[in-house]
Formats: sequence, structure tokens, C-alpha cells
Amino acid sequence: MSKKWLPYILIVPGIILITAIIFIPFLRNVGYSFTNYKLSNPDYHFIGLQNYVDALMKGDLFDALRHSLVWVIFNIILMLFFGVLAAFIQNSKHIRGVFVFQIFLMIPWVLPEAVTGYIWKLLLNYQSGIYYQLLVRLHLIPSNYDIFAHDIPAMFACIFANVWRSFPIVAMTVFAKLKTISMDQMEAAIIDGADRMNLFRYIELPHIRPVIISVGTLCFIWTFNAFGIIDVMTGGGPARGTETLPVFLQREAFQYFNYAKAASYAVIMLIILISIVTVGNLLQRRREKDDGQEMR
Amino acid sequence: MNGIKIKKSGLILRYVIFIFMFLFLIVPIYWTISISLRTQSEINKTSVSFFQKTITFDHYIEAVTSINLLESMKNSMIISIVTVAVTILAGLLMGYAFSKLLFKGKKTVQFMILLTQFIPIVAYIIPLYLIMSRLHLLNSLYCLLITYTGCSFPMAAVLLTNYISDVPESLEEAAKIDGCDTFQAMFKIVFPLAKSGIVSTAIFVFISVWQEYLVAVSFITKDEYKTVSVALKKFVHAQGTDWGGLMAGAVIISIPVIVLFMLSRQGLINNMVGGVKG
Repeated sequence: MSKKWLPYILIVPGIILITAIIFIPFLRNVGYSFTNYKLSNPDYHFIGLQNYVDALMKGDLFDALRHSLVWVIFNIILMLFFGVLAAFIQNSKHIRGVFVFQIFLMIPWVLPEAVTGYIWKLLLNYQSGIYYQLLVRLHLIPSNYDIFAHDIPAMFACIFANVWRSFPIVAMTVFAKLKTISMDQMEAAIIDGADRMNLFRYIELPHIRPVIISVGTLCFIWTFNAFGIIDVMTGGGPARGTETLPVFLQREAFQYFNYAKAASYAVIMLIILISIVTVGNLLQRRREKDDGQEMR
Repeated sequence: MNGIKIKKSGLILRYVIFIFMFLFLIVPIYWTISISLRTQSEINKTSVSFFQKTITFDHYIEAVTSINLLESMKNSMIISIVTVAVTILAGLLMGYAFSKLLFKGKKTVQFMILLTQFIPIVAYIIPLYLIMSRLHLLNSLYCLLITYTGCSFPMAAVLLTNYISDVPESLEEAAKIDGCDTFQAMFKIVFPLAKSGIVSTAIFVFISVWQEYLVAVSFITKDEYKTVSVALKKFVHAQGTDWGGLMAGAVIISIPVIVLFMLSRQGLINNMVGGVKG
């Protein structure tokens, strides 16, 4: 065996895997989105942009998009909030018993998402859920109110389940970064009279900002594509009120078997995902540039 | 910050936040275990109490016998282990090529791997389903095995490349001088030295396959091929949900991943933290 060919032999198995299982199906997905393929119409043919036009003319896609927007925005805000809080708890030198917290911290992230979905459904379940009882006692909901029968409360039930599942990763990554702040810098700031808020605003926050942005981007991608928790908790209901884009697409493909239509939704989803990540990146770069100029 | 003194009110505030976060984290876990151990009559009562008054293992027995959760455990186990074996082997070879060898087109291939991480599974699940259907692989373990191998490969390749490039060049060269060829050097020197990284990557892949729901619920309709997360659906009946059984099932199917996580806690956290930075 010649040395020159060795690298190519080593990468061939991996290339075959991603080409056969990701790239080719992905390209076929784009191809199907321009046809009228469905289970009842196996002899499909090219229909141009008809699926896209239909999707954009009918309201269903926009409903799903609106639900996705609510789902993503509140998820990210709450994940970052709870995650950063948990990172600061771990980093605190004043609190005792943090190690007990750390032992349990990663468990939500390890559990299968279906398990998390069912757990939170039970916690908020009509009458028998412990969180349901708590919400009634705090007068946040009336006593005969079924959370899963109303779309906005049902959506927030799913959001909290997903936040519980994902905030540990924010907590761990931000904590890893917090540990690298130099003690000298903190102590110098304290001698200069900085209080806790000042320390957070002028030293800790700028230090952890890059990590918050990268972990936030990752969480955005996961949340945008999340399916299991919503499917398990509400199945997209009540009356399709919690149907985000992935749930909408899965129903179209595997319940109504409109393959081509669902394929066009997948393309639209990917375009939205890539545009948001790209715009976010550009804004971030511009901001870094501005900051650099200010420093000078 | 040991030297920094804080006011008493500040300390109280910190403990309030700590206890709030601790409860947020722990109550769902406690509640799952607690409900799984309560008798049916206690669960059915309209007034629930935080601490249980009864204890029983009936729900666990029910989950194993009437729902046949062990069959789903076996399916998930087979799928996860085979997926881990294939992705790790292919990933090791590619990781070695990426970190130790120079070749034309390396940048392109690395870019391709990066690109695949940005394509979510919903963007290719429909053609995969149709291909599997044409090959008569739907409702078998093969369709899940093949899909998961492809999905988890890019992440495994990236992690393994990092771990292999941490192995010092000198040891490998010494082995080559002693007469090892490249493959021997790889399997006898380089990979054993990257062992802890390889193990944590394998556990990472195992956990993500064990958790997977979207593909499993879309590709499998027959009970005997269901994986663990989809099997839990059997506790949800039209007349109402069997919460005791469902929570017992949730505990049972979570045990393997929690044990694996405990075995490789630091390695997994490093994978995650490193993945975010990269």
C-alpha cells in the first residue's frame, strides 16, 4: 500500500457515511420540494415553486412560524437566565453545599427528552400535578384551570420543560469561563470600591460574553429543531396551538404523507435557521469591531 | 474570593437564589421517583401531598411485565452499541488522518464535516424515510442504526480529531523507528494513549442515540422494534395516563444513561465545554 493513498483510505468510511446518510438525502429533499410527491401520488413530477407558493399563501406555515418564534425566544432567554445563575452559584465561595447542586446539575441534560416531557407534563397536570397545585395556591391560575387545554399556558409548560433540560449546558460552559477570571483583577476592583453589581457589569459580564454568545447560538439551533418535548407534552395541541415548525413538518410528512410539501417546509426551516445564525454572527462581528475602536 | 467579605443581607440573598435554583433542579427528579413508588390509590386521590404516604414497587413490575419495557431496552441497547462502534471506528480513522497526516483536499473534507453539523435532521428525514421504505428497512432496527450512525458521525469525528492531536508526535515516531507500520502505530500507540477521550466520546454518542426521539417515532410503528423513549407512549391510554407506570418506566430507561454519565462525568463535561468553544 502506498503512503500517498493512506489518508484517503482512512477518510473513506467517514465520507461514505455522511454522503449516503446526510448529503444525498438532503439534496433529494431539496429536489422533492419542487415536485408533487405524496403517498397517494407516487408518479410525481416537477411542479416548480408551487409548494413554496402554497406554503407562503396559506396561513398554516405562519402559525407554526409564530409558535416557533415564541418557543425559541422564551427558551433562549430563560435558559441563559437560569444557566448564568447556576454558573454563578457554582462559582460562589460563600455558599456551602454547592457540590450537591453540581452532582445533580447534569442529570436533566442526560435524560431522554421524552422522559423530561412526561415528567413536566405530570408536574403541571390538571389536579394531580405538584406544580399545578403550587400555581393554584399562588393564585397564578384559577382552581379549575387545565394548563394543557389553553395554548399559551401549554406552550409555556413545554418551554419550562425544555429550559430545565438545557440550562445545565449553559451553566457548565459559563462556569468553566468564570473560573478563568483573574483574582487579582477582581481584588483590585474591590479595593477601588466596586460593589457586586459593578464587578458583574464591568468584569464578569464582558469576560463571559463570548461564551454566552456561542452557547446561546448552539441552544438556538437545538431549540429551533426541538421536537420530542412538544410532541410528548401536547402533541402540538390544543387545536395546533403549540405546533412549532418541526412538529408541523413531522405531521405533514408522517401523518398526512405529503412528502413534497413537508420537504419544502424543511427547506424553508433551514433557510430561516441559516439566516438567523448568519445575521447574528454579522451583528456580533460588527459589535466586536466597534468595541475595538472604542478601546483605541 | 475567600478574602472578600460580604454583608449578611448579601449572604442571605445568595442562599435564597441557591435554594430556589436547587429546588428548580431537583423537584422534577424527586417527583418522578416519588410518584413511581406510590400506590395507585394514592396517585388517584384528588389531593396530592409532597411526601408520599405509601410505598410500592408494583409500577416497576408492571413496566417490565405488561408493557414489555425490557424488549425496548434491548432494542435501544443494540442500536446504541452498534452505532457507537461504527461511528467511533470511522471517526478514529478520519481523526487520525485529520490530525497526523497532510493530504490534498483535507480542508475541503473538514469543511464538509463542519457543514453537516449545521444541517438539522428534519432537512433530510423525509428522503431517508423513503429510501428505507424502498429498501424494506422500515420497522426494523436497521433503519435507526443507519440513520443514527450518519447523524452522530460528524460530532464524533470532530471530538476524536481533537483527542488524537493531543497525543505527542514523538511517541509515534519512536514506534515507527522500532519497525511499526502506520496501522500498528495507530492501534497500538496512538489510540491507546487517547483512550480516555475516546471513551468519553463513545459515551457521548451512546447518550445522544439513547435519547433520540424524532427518527424513532417517525420510522417505527411496530411495538417490537420501538426504542425506549417511544415505548413510554404505551403508558398513555385514551382513558387516561398511567402515571405510576410511566414514571417507573422513565426511571428504568434513565438508569443506563445516568450510570454512563457518572462513569465519565468530567470527560463529558469537557466534550461539551470544548464543543461550545470550538
